[in-house]
Amino acid sequence: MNPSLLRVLTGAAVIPAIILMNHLAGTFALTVILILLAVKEGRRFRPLPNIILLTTVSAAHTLQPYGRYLFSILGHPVTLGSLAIGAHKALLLISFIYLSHYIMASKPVIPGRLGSLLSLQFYYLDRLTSEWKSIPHKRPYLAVIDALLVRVSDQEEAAIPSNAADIPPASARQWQWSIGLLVIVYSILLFSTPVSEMITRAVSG
Amino acid sequence: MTRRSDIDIHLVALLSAVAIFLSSIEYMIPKPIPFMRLGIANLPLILALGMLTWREYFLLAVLKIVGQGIITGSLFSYIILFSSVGTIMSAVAMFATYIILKKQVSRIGISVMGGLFSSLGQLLISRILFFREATYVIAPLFLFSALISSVILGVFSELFIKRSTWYASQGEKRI
Repeated sequence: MNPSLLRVLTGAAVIPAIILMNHLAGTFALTVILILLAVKEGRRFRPLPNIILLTTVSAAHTLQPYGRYLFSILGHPVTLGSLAIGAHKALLLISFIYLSHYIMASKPVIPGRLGSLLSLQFYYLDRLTSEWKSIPHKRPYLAVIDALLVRVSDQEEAAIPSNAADIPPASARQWQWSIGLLVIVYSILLFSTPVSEMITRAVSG
Repeated sequence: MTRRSDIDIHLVALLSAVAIFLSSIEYMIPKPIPFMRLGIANLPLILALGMLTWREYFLLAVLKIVGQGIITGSLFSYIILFSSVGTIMSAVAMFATYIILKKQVSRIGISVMGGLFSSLGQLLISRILFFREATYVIAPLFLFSALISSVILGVFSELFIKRSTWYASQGEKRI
């Protein structure tokens, strides 16, 4: 198995853990791990856009009050539940962005026709998220989506997948990294809920 | 033939990536009512009409369902059933409308057909598997919200097609 395919499969195996994680702290931990992985693979991490995303999505969700009342701003109630839902959604998106960066650290080479299609889909998704960040003004949306499509389509030649047979297989170290990552991710999924319940019980006495 | 095939793979991959990307943007927007959404992830399906063969078009629909399921976290829940039936029925309706009526229908009409059939499919699943008779209570509001959102999406698609340089550049690839 070539290293890029191993990375794609490892990334795909992480997806269920991200989706099934319903605990905010667990989702945060997974997001941090995926950011670190992307950085390790040479991708740049800019905190500000992620903080803005986290803040705006959380703030937008306060429009739908839910859960415990915290405080009010200009008469509008800010609730813990709505903030948590917004933060969870934002963290989910951030984790998928960095998972995509991790998978795309080198152009993925998946064998077969469907494999080529999935490789290209990953490639274009990665390009779209990267180009989106580089566009300073996000409005009007119509022009921005058009600009995104033009920019990404211009890189069509770079998207052509390499031949899987030309690439050497993944090393033992790369296998260890992938297995280690999956063990950590699924340990977080398995233990986050019981551990958080223990903490809540201890705090509440 | 090989070159034509390569171009199609690129276009399907690009449009499916756009659908997933738009799903993620839509996911960030809070919904006033759980089922009420704009459906901007359907934009690639509307734009793809006339560009892709029916096989490629339905492949795009399947890739959109899976991608959307991953982004919204619904891939391993019963919600994916609603999403799948809605998208497939919408894709069939939009593709059939486009093939039968061609120039006699605008993208607004196509979008409304898609929105209507998507809602009908989801109501059908709701009636058969989940909410039984209670489905009829929610149906009018559900269909009305689908009508409004599909008109908005249709207008957006129509404007996009008229003004987009990317869409104009795809002219030679159309079937």
